Amino acid sequence: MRNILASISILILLLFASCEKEEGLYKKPDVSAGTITKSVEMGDKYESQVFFDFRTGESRSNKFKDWDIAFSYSDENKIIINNAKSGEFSICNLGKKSFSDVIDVSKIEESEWQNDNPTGRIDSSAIGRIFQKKTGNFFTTDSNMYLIKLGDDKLFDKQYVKIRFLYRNGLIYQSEWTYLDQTRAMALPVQTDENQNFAYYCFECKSHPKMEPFEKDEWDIVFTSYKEYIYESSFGIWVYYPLRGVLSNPHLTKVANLTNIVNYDDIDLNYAETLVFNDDINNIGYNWKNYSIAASKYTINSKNAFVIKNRDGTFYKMKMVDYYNAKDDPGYPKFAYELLK
Amino acid sequence: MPDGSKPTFKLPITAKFLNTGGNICSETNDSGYFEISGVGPIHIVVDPGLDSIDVHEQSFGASQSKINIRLFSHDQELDPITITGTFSRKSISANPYNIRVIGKQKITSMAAQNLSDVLQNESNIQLGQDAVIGTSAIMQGIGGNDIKILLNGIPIIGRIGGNIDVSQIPMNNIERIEIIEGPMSVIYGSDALGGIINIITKDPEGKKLLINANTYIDNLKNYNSNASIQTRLNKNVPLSFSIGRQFFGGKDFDETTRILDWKPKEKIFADFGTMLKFKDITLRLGSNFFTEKLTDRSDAENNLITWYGYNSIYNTYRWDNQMQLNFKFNNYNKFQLQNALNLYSRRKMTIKRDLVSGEETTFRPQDQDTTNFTLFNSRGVYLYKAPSRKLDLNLGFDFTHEAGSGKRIPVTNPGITDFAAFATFDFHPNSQWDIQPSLRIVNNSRYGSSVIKNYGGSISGYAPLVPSLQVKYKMSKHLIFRASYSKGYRAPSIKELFFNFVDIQHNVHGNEDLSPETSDNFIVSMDYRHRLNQKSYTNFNFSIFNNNIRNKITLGLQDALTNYYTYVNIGRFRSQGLNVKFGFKSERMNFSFSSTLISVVDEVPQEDSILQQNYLNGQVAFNVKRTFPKFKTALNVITRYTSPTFGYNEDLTRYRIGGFYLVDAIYNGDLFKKRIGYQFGIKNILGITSVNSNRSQSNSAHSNTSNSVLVTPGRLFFLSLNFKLF
Repeated sequence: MRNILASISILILLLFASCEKEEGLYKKPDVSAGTITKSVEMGDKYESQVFFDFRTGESRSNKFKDWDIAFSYSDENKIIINNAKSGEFSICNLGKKSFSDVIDVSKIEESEWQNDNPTGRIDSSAIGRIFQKKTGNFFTTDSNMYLIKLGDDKLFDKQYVKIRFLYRNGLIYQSEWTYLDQTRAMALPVQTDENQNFAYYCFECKSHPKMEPFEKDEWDIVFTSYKEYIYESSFGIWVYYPLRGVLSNPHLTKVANLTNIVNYDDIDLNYAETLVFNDDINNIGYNWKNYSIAASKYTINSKNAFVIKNRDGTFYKMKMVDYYNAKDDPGYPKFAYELLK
Repeated sequence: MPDGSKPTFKLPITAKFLNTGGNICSETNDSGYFEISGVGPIHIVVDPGLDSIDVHEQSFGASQSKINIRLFSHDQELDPITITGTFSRKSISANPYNIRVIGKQKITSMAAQNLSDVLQNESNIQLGQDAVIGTSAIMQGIGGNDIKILLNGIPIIGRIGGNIDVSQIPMNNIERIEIIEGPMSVIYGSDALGGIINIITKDPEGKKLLINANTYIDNLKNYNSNASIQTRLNKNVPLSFSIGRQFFGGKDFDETTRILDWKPKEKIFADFGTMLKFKDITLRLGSNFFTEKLTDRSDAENNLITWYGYNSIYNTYRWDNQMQLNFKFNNYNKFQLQNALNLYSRRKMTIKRDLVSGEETTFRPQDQDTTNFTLFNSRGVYLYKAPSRKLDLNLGFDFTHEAGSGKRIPVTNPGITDFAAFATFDFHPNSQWDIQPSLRIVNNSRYGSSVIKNYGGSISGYAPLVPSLQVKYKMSKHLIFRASYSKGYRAPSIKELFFNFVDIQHNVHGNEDLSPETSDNFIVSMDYRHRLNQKSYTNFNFSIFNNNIRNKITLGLQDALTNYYTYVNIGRFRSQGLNVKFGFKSERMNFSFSSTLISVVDEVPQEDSILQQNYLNGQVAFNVKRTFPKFKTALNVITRYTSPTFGYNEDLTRYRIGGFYLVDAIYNGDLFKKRIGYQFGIKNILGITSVNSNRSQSNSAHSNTSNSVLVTPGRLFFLSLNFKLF
């Protein structure tokens, strides 16, 4: 009897032994004939930004940290800051102060430091609408003093810049600025260019770098660093967080984000022509990639899909396919796109 | 003895002459006889010192020259023996703490495979689920680092995210589980702010040969089996071995992705135990080994050339070794020494898999991470029981050294050494009152209110004194009231002190200047137990509690502009609540009901205000067991309800995580004269898998979150067999 029981139990134990099922193999991906793939290099420290033109397939890059502030050519009279340059980079409005006033930065509340909203809308930018039309092409401001925090990676006396925006006359913005501990302001005339969205300035270099390697009619998207206002779930708070993502050209390029809405393979010209586009420049944005704990890296949302309507009114569909190079270094986005016809 | 046979062991006798007040201590001879010289009415106390036989007290008149005393078996079913919170075995009614016992029979009747299965049916314990970190326990609204889980009184180490994964503790060799809510820091040291869960393993029985085998299978791809052998070297040296394996194949609710919602796990465990008895010395040795492999898959990615994905494999190893020495000088003086060496390791490895060809390569070998923890603990307690039986005194020391290292915890960190002395005084002025003040003083290598330099120049300090007071009033044979105040403390963990995670996205640091968390806890309870007849009893327990934790350690953002995070002592945490439990048992029916309601207030100081977040939740558990004596089977139906949980989002809007019901029906019986035991049934009959949540949408740079919270892998049909081979 005991032997029978022993045998049954051993048999049942063996019967119930099991292993992790081997994962089935996938079919090689189908790629339609008109698909073009493109990899760009931001670098594993994300030091570069890369502009891309769908029409020619050409890309050009530069160092995204080479500027601090930029002035728009358009009649929006928008001023933007390069707030992704560091976590601290931000601006606050000090009101009616003079350059000789002593400013105690420790007394400035954290909530007073502002960042540009990545949608690109002027009303949600850090500085906002400050120009009022006087006559013709002449615009004035309320001449408030602003304080820009450039970042702790500099010596203290170079971390803060005081600036006052005076007026715009035609193509030229006139401002004056100096460092926090100085009282004598330097004039800052910035001339915009009809072929560029913005004219840029670097305080430390005291130079006007040309940050758009294409003319504004010649590029569609840029892979760059910028700040998003996000809920950091790990720590339970909302913060402006520097991210790597894709912004579109504010001049004439429109993007529709169809992630999780429609299958990339199902997008055709008929569908694209029914879409309604808005003016936000961050519709591609950053969250086509998610950090996967399982992978210990960013993985691409396989359902990401975008439609781009460029300056000619031509439609392209696009999807992100990778964020790493062959050596598994991040900062090398790869995407696929196809002309819709 | 109740059966009329004479005892053959020496029983300690204490006799007090009621006219003169004189005391005489004696003991019975091997035939159970004793003699006392003297005249006058006498009060006699017989204390067998055995779990199975109650202490007997009886008074006799002066005219009686011959006295017969009958001893009765202890009611282990209604009033089981406990050891948690005391250093000697005491029944629940004798334990000054409001303690809960989950016995082996109840564990078996739930078809519980691990500690998580058991705790899920306890109304005053909530479980938190994480697909990778595992299952954590929450008591009195307090969880994480503040709940201490012990194995035979020794802490289990290896916290991930501050939690011990209770699903990693198999139930194959467990005798019972003892739970005490509220701080137990006086006796068990740090990390016991919310309470303790003490898992008591089976002692080897000393049989010549006993072999048991168990197997379990269900439709959710759980395949478990284990076997145990009990034997002996000789009459005084019993041995026990057990080995087991639990396998879970994973569960996926969304087959359009490669990610599994419940990750596949394989667990292997082995235990060894022995006991040596020599005169008045008992030595217990035990070793428990556990390993778990968990596989976490990423979603599939298509780079237009191939499909690929990543698998993170977590290998956990735990090896706990214990030695317990009990030395009985005489009936009034004992000494216990307990030493433990616990080793824990968790290794994460990421594999990149080509999903078209099946080829696998190690992804970023430089990023692979192994976390190691080692704990050495030595605790000695001197127990004194006054002959008058009015005082029990326990004096003890507790030495712990914990070391740990990992990818983000530098291996050069010095670890934490903690040396404490404690004392408990248990006064019994009469048979009704029991007053137990206790005190612990701690010398810790990392923190203290007064810092002194030790010999050799190292810095150490004294933590705040840790007092507690337990008061028990036995109103009648059946009714007991308890009130307690306990101070608790939790020392900062190695991670909170030494963590260092800096990269392009993160700037998180440990804080070596952290202070311990401290708490004040009050509990008032009423416990009623009444045996109605030989086969039926009823019990009722009601308790209310209040916890107030200060200097709570949380990860705080110190500078939003640099994303600098570190651990800080900020904020206050309060929880209040009540528990109700009612049970009734007869020959054929066993019925129990329990309910808990908890209110939690979390206060975090802001710059010029206090951000207060309130949470309310409750649980109800209802259990009915119907026995069929004719067929020797029983049907057990277990239901429990967890109420919706409320709280506040970051923008101060209220969120709600939905409530849910779980219902199990389990049928069990025996065959072939109990050689084979069987169980089958359905767990989670309602098929609850997740609940809705409208907690703040996360637009995190790191991950997307969903609007639901996982609860269980789904409805489960199972079969379990147990074989007694010898």
